[in-house]
Amino acid sequence: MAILDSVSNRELHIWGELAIDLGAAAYYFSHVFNLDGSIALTFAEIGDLVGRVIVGAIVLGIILFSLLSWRGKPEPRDERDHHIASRARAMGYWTLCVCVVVVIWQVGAGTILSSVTQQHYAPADPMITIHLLFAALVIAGAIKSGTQLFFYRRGI
Amino acid sequence: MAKTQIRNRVRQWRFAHGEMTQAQLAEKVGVTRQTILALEANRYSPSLELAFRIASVFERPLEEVFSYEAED
Repeated sequence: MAILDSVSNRELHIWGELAIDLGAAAYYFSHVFNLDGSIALTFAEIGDLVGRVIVGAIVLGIILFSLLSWRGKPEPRDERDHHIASRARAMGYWTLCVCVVVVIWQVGAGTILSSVTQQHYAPADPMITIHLLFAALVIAGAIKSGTQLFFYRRGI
Repeated sequence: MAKTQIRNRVRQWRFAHGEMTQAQLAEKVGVTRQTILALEANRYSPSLELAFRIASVFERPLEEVFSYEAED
């Protein structure tokens, strides 16, 4: 319990956000990869899945943050919180930029390969691009939360 | 742990001021208790404004509460 005493309510909330983000991503990708012909999923199916993920994340968030509120609400942000949040946002932003560039590059490369070889390459598929962009958002969010937790523990 | 080059005697001055708690000092200077905790552990360098506010609570000049250690 000593470690719990040294963890602030704000840190606990960030852990909660991270858990919900990763949980939602795990649910989403487990469904995407377990469906037969996932590449051929229609926009309607994706919309249905995204809807379930969003509703699930909201419900999970309400439950989790209600449990955490027993310990007390996070204190108002001070200069250290703002400093850490700013560093974490920068890390998340650059991660998102790198991921988006990788996605754009693979779409371009896949399209060129498809036109040159006259064969279908999965990376050029719009649905794969949607999944990759969702993964990019999850990775960037996880990096942002992870950076905050790192600086709260290690110091800044 | 990332140690800063700003050293402080906040803990000593707290005890010299009637064993003021971290929470009391945090409330007086308008930050969270975790920030005071990080500051005392040299894991956070405060802004100039916060440093002045802390020194003002202890009614001491800034250099008696905070000092800078140059890197070798």
